[in-house]
Amino acid sequence: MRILFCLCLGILGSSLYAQNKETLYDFTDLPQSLLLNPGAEVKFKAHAGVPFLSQIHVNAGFSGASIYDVFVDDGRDINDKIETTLNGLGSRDYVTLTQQLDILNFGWRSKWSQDTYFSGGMYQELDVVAYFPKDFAVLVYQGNQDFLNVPFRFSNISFTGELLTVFHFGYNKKIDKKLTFGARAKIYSSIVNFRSTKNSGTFTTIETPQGNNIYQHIVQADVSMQTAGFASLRDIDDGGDRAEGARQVKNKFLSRAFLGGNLGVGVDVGFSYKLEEQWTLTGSATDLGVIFYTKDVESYEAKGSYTFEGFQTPITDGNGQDVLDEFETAIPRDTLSTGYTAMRPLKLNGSIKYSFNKYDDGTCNSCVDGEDPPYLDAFGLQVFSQFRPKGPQFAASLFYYKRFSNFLRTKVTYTVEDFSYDNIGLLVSTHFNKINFYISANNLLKYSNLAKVKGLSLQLGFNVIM
Amino acid sequence: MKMKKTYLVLLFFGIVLLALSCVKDVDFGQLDNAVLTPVLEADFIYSEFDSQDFNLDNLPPNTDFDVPPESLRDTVNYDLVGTDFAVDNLERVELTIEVRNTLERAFTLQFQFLTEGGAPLGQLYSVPVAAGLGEGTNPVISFSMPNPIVLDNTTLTQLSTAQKIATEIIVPTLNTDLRGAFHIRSKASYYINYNL
Repeated sequence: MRILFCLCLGILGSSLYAQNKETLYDFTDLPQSLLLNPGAEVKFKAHAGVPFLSQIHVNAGFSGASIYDVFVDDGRDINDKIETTLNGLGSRDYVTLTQQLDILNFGWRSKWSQDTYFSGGMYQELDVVAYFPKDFAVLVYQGNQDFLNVPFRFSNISFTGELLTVFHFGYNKKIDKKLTFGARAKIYSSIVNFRSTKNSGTFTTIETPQGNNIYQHIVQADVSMQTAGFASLRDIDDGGDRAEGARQVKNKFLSRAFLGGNLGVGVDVGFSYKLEEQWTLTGSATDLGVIFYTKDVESYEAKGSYTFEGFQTPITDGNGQDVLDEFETAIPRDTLSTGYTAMRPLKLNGSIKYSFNKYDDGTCNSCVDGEDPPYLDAFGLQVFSQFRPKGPQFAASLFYYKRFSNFLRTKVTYTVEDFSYDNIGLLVSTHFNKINFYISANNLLKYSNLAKVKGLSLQLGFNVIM
Repeated sequence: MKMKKTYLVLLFFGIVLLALSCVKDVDFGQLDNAVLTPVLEADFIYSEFDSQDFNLDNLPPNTDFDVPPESLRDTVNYDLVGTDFAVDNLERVELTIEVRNTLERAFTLQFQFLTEGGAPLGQLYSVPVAAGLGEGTNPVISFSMPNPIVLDNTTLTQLSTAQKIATEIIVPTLNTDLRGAFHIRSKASYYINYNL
């Protein structure tokens, strides 16, 4: 319990908002921008990510509180701080953990059309989001004595988790001088999935002054959880040999990662449009897709209602009273193996950018031979939204792009999210000959005291860009 | 030269991040003092007794009769503390028992915790109930003495193997002319004290 509590607080303290990559979006010096907008206006002739190192992305966070809120050394009793923090949280606060690893990433400009760029690859993704079950956290922390006649809602319980690999291939076409359009087809290969998002019902302790007893405890439940990929792991027989068990798990994961798991399909679409020479509008929708879970499915559900009024005595029917039996009869638990489908969390990005300070003195210190002289500066506005079980999450960013030289390009962002108004991000990208390294992090102001952080995001990677 | 400059910037960026990133002004040792102290309210036993229900033999008016004792006794499954977790972390249980009586007779409610095999555990608890004022009057309300009955951690340890509770309502001789009823209502308040 203590370990669990620490783990929760640890995640809580290193939180990050969903899959927003505000520094990377429309950073067209990097091929990874194509994964966020297949219609990004990329200029390079070809690229290849260093396998397993072209994009490492970690994003974890909690929207409602930080470690500092609970553990600040201010002389107050920690239990008061826990209670204050708990009271400040709502059922729409969430923990999120996203990790992505580019396994392969490559692209090339078409031989037949210089306006067409193909890209493809494979990446692995872990995505977990769990909403804070406020009502039941209160029940555990404070009990029901102070919450008589108040329903504890099962709808508070909402979480999803997915470990998968994605195979993708994208097409990027410069339609004319103004419009660049792109699309990316995806095949999802799910390794493990779990979700519990459609729960309803309540548990309520009602005072009944004229009732049979002092209270009525009423449970009305319609709760369920779907899993795919867990049942067979549970059934692994390692014969007491942990190494053998780990080997079997690894083999299963590898098999599922390479299209042996539950499969799905999806698409990304995006565009870049030059409103005028220096104004650019972009937009994208990524992970518009669905996964069909048909293999290794195990789902659980409990549905029904039960009212407990205590133990009636003397019991006149002579059969005795077994509350647990009554409860299980009234709210039976079922285990099902029926398949299910689930939408991928759709992400929407958009931006408007004004570019200026065109470098054109003929020396080409800040441009690439054969290319038009680039704009060295740009600023603009980006918006981001991701669909989650309880509705979309939003973020908006102001950004400033600066190309110091061919070798060093940067982007600074200021992002406003659901619960954060001081998120500064920075991306630094170096281009030495054809070798590129980039690193990006957000919430930089919080690095002076990570305990106060509600969300952090980090991306880095190596590419060969031609 | 430019490469050096670039990597110096990167190095600077990394060093700044590392140098600035720290966790301060917090004390994780406070977790030793963190405790969960929820109070859970749950119904306990309840019962209703109407004098009419026990005049089964249709006796003539103004006739005394005794309610068969076995019809006022019962044993129900009641796992008081259930697990070692509960024994270790239950600070106390408070039992509140309320009896509303309109029957013009005083009586006694008794209960005792039992093991799975039916062996008595701990003390026998008695709740004296004051006589009511007759049918149609406001019920006379009696509470346990003391109110509430507190089962402290020591008592709960004694009762850790309790699996059942035996109840008995001891009613004096009644008369067929008596009209009235009594209604037993009760609850248990579980005070948990769990060190994280």
